[in-house]
Amino acid sequence: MRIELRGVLKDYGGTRALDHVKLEFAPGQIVALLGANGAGKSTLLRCLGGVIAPSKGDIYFDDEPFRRDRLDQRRRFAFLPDFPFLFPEKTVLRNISIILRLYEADGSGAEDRVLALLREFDLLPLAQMPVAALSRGQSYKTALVGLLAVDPDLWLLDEPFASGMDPHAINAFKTHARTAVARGRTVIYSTQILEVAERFCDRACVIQQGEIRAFASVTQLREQAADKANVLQSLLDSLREAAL
Amino acid sequence: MLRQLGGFMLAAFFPLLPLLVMWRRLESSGARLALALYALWAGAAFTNLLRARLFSSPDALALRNLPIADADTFAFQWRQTVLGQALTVLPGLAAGMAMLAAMEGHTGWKMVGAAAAGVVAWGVGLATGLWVVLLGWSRGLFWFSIGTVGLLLLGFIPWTAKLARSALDAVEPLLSLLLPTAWPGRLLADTLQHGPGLALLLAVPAVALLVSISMARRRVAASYAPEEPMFSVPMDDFDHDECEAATTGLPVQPDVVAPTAKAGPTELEDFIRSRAWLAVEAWPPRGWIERQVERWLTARERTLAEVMMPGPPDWSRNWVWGAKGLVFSICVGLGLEVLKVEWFWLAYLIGGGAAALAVLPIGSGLGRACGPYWAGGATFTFHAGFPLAYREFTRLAWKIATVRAVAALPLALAFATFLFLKYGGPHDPWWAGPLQGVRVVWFFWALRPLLAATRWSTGTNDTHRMSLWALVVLAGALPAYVVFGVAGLIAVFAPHWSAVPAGLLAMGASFGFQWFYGRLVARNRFDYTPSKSQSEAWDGGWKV
Repeated sequence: MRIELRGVLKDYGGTRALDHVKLEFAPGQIVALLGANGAGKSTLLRCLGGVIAPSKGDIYFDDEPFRRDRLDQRRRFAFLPDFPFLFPEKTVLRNISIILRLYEADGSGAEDRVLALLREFDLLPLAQMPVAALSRGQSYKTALVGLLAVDPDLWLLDEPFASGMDPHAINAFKTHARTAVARGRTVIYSTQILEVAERFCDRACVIQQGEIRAFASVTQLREQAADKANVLQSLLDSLREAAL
Repeated sequence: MLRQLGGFMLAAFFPLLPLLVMWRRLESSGARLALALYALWAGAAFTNLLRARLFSSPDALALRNLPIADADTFAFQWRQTVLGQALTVLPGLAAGMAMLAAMEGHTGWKMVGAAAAGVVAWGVGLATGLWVVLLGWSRGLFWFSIGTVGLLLLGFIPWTAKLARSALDAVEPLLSLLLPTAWPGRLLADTLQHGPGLALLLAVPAVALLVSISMARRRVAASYAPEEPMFSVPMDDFDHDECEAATTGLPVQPDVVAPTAKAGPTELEDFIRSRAWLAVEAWPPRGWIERQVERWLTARERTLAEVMMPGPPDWSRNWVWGAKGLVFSICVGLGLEVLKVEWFWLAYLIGGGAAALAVLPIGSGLGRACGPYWAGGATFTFHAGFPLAYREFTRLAWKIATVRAVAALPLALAFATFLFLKYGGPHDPWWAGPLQGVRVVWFFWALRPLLAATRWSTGTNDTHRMSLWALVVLAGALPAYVVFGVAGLIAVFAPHWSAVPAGLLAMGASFGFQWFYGRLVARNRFDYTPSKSQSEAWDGGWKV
């Protein structure tokens, strides 16, 4: 799915969170959104996820304007905030069941997919436990298993590496993301952990005060950077100093 | 606590008003008869209330699972029971007795004495209940008493039913002497009517019974053991299918049973492979309204209901409560009217209003969808996290409202017909009454689309601050509400055929705003961030 933001602007009262953002995400990429606190990363993800609406500008999915009420478009992506949308009183399995049915991805083979994912993310013993009884990382894994079982075109994840998932689950997530991208899916996530972003993205999108400062592959950024060892860190530092 | 107190009130006074009606209708000897019948019922009611509160109340069952001695549990339950009754039944009986004295034309100290007799009546009732519990009471006694009082009252609907009257007159002295709960009332009635006399002898066993409370309490405490809670039943002895079939009357159907949280990996894997967990979660078999709604919904809509509802609906149970409340309010209203109480109509107003709240489709039950959800650094509307659409929400709300409206019709028709028969205007009550009932149900059904759009709106920031789109929303909502209010009320109250265009206009306003708001939603005009008040109110809710 090709995603395009055309002059997207988002104001929260007097605060401009996104300032005429123009971006295009080609299919088959992992994109890391980087920036300081309050830079606009989460706002960008929420706009893409249809949770908030741009004050101006539009978002296009495959050249069609995104409308929250169009279920065919809405089913093509899944948005996982840092505390994902779940039903706390329902079991892990029931949560995944609802997600699959809402995405109409509960056809033949869903059971094997879910079983394999539950095993992989160590959730099988917890499958009949209510989500309210789980730790934060386990809750996030539940939502992630739902996402992976649905396998949407676009994955939108807010701070997946600060979600409380254990190292094994983080590695499993990365593996699945790489595989999905190879099949033409797009993964957009935000993070503050630059070491992870440097190794786990095809393109980095650096946001500062609602504006896109850089949108390039790490290799490209490295070519332009003075400090080639810590390219993202030096980029963010330079932006911060310029802003001061 | 309030619910428990309400239970006491209802149980103790339910039969009192019809009996008061009898008192007035049957002149002097009728008073004794009314008291005797009330005593029969009160004895069973006190016993039942004590049995329920001491042995099978949720508090008692919860305490049973804690490391607390049964004696302490009993002491706690006893205190709660006595306190609950002292706050409700006792003042009620005192006031009731004083009222009886006033009805007979007694004032001053005689009324105070009557109130004191009410206090004694409460104590005697408590003691009677305690002794019956101690001596081994069966639920049959309670239902026998209810049935007897009910049948006797039915016998008095044609007030001239001489046979019933003479039969009751024959058993009245026996009842008055045998039933301890009749003693204070009989003593009061005779003393007020004829002055102190032989009836004073009844004070002796009454006082003895009061004194015996302490002994009876000790003996009950000595053998006290609350009923075993359901969850302590060994699972091997508990047949879920049989239990479900017994409670629903439906044939037992073999089904895939979800393994528990402690199930082994093989059992879980088999369950997942069975795909049973992918099915829509069935609502517990609660009642016919839920079943009808379930039948009408598509598989997608049932999934949406699972997402949008905080739990299984309770519509049928509410309907039953509404029906009971309506019957009760009619009895009370008729009783007050016979007693020439000017504000008798309040009983109909309160009963009708409560029944309307219980049975009419005023709420959709889909509140969770538009409620707030805390997702880390921000609060969003819950439905925003899932692929579901405004039109799906409104359609589901409309389907539910339609079934509930149809279900509400019989009650509305019956109540309106009753009111028209009793107090109706120039029109034939047999068609004007039902028509009015239909109109009231229609009003709430037609209001649903407007309410559904408004509910969705509460999950957005559409009018959080003044903006062009806030003005657009308000420009659509305010006229819709005004037009619906005016035209809807005209349609409900106007003469018959002129109500039709007003009704159509009201429906146009309601469905029109639902459509109009849907257009704004489709254009991504609003954030799905609920208002601050909603987010704050949610702190006691169901967030992770």
